[in-house]
Amino acid sequence: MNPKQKANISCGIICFLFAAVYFYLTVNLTTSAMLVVTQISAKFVPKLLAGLIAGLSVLLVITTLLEAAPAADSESSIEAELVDNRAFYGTAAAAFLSLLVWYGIGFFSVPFLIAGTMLVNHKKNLLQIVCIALVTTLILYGVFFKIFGVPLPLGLLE
Amino acid sequence: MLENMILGFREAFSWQGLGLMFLGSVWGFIGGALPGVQASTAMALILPLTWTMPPGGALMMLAAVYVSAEYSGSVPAILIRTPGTSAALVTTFDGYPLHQQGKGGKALSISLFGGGIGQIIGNILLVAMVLPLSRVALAFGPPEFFALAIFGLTLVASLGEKSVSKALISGALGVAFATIGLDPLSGTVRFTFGVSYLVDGFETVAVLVGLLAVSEIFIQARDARSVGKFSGAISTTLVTWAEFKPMLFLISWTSVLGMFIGVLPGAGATIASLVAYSEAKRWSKHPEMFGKGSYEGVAAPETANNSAISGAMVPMLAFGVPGSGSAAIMIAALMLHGVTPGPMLFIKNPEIVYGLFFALFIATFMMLVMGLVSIRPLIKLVSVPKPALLSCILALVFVGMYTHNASLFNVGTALAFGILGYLMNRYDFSPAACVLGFVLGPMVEVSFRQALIISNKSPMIFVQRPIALVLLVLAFLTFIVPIIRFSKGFLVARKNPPEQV
Repeated sequence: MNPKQKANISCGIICFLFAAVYFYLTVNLTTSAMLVVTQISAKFVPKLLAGLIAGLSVLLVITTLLEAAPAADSESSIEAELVDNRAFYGTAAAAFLSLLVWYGIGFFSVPFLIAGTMLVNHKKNLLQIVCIALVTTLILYGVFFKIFGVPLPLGLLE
Repeated sequence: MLENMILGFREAFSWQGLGLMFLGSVWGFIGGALPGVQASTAMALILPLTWTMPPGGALMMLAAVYVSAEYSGSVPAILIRTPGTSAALVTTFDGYPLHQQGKGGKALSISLFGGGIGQIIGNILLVAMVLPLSRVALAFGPPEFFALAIFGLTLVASLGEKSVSKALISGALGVAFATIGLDPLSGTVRFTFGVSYLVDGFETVAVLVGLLAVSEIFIQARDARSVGKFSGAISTTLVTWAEFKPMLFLISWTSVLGMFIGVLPGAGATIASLVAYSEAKRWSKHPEMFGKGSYEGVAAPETANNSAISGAMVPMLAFGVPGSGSAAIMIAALMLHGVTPGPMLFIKNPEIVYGLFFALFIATFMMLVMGLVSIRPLIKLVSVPKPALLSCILALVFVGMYTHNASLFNVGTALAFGILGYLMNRYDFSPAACVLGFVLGPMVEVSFRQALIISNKSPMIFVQRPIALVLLVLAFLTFIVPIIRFSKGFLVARKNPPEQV
C-alpha cells in the first residue's frame, strides 16, 4: 500500500467519524422550539446526510483497497520538507488571528498580514515589502472606508 | 403602449438619467469586483443616496449597479479565483484555468460579450413577455424547487475528476455545513454549540471565498518550485470572432435558460449560472474540457447570470415580489418614494416601468464599454510578482470579509474554510463541489421538507408534478453518466495495473 492509498483510507475514516459525530449531534438536538405543524423535523435531512456521508466514506475505503496500487508520489519528499515551515507559519497565523479582536482591522493588522504573506512566499527585499504593505493598506482603507463608507475597526488607534 | 414607451424613452435618455446610470455602472463595476461586496450590497450602500432622486432615476441607477456588478463579479473569479459575487462562483471553474494558461483576456472578453448578449436577450424577453413569464413563477412550488436544486447538485458528480466518491463526499459536506444555524421551518437552532454568530449559519460569501480563494493562496504558497513566478503566462489578447462564433448558439439558449430561472423567486443568478454550466457541459462536444479551461464553461454561466437579472424583474414588476435580494432593494427604492410596486405600476407610473426597460439596455451598453476598456489594465494589474499578488489578495479578502457585515467572525470563517479547502485540494477532494453543496443545501432541504409536508410525507408528489418529474429524470441522467464513466475507468485500471516504481 503506497502513501496515496494510506491517505485515502485515512480520509475515508475521518469522513466516517465526521458522519458519526454529525449523527450523534443530530439525534441529541434540542427541538423544544419546533412548531407542531412541522411534520418533517429539523433532524430529518441531517440524518439522511450523515448516512450518505458514512456510506460514501465506506465506499471510498473499499474502492481504495480494491484498486491497484498507483505509482509512488514523487512530490512526497518535497512535501515533507515543507511540513516544519507550515507548522511555524500556521502557529504564527493562529496567534495573529487570536489577537485580531484587540488590534482590529486596519493599520495594526493589514500591513503585517501583507508583509507576513510576502515573507512566507520568500520575498526578500524588505524595502519593497514595507512599501507594498503600506500602499496596499492605504488603498484598501480608501476604497472600503472612504468610498464605500464601511467603518474598519482600527483597534489600538481608536 | 407606444405613448408609455415614449415616456420611458425620454426618462432613460435624459441627461439626468444617463448621468445616474453612468455613476451606477462605475459603482457596480467596482463593488462587484470586490470580494465580499455582492451586487445587492453595492445597491444597498447607494440606496440612501437615491432619496433625493426622482423614483424613475433611482430605479435606473440601481439597475445599472445591478447589471455592472453581476458582470464584474467574474473579473476576480477569472483572474484570482475569487468570485466577486456568488453568481460568479461557477466562472472560477474554467475562467481561472484559462487565466493560468495565459488566456485571461479571452476569458474576460467571453464573459463580457456573453454577459452582454445574455443581458440583451433577457431584456427583450422581459419587455415582450413580462406577464406570460410571471405565470411561470406561479407554477413553481416546493417540489419543483427541490427538483431544480437537485438538478444543480448533480454537477457535483461531474466535478470528481480524480474520484467521484470524494466529490460526492465534498458535496454532502457542503450541504451538512449549510444545516448549521436556525432551521427556517421549525425554528430549531442546530449545531451552533452556543455560538451566537452561528445562529444565522456561516456567511455564504465567507465560505465561498475561503474554500476557493484562500485555499488557492495556501496552495500557491506551498508550491516551493514556483516561488517568485506567476503561475501562468500573461496575455491580454481578446477572444477572436472565429473563437466566439461557435458559442453563439450556446449563449442564446443559456440566455433563455438564465432568464427563466431568474423569474423564479428565490432561485436567482447563482442557481441560473450553476444550471447553465451543468447543461452546457452536458450538451458540449468537448465535455472533457470543462473544469480545465473551456471557453464554453465561461460563456454559459456568465450569460445566464446576466440574463437572470432581467428574469428577476418579472415578479418584481408583475406582483411586487422580489425575485432576488437585489430586486428587493429596487422595491425598497420605489417604496422610499411612495411608489407601490406591483401590477398597478404599469397603470399608475408607466414612465418608471418603461424607463427601466430602456435603462436595462443602456446599462448593458455601459457595462460592455467599461468591461472592454478595463480588460487589459486588469490583467496587467494581476501580473505583478506572485508574493506581492498573493499578499494583496489575502489582505483584500481579509478586509472584504470584514466589511460584508462588519464581523470579525467572517474573517475567521474564511480562513478556517481556506484551511479546509487546502486540505481538500491536497487529498483530491473537491472544494468546488463543497461550495455547490453549501449554496444549494438550504434550497434542497427547505423545498424537500415543504413538499413532504404538503403531500403528508408521500414522496409521490415529486412524480405527480410534471415539471418536477422531468427535472428529476434529467438530474438522474446527469448524475449517473460520470459515475458509469468512472466505474469503467476503475475496471480498466484494475485489469491493467500501473507499474510500481
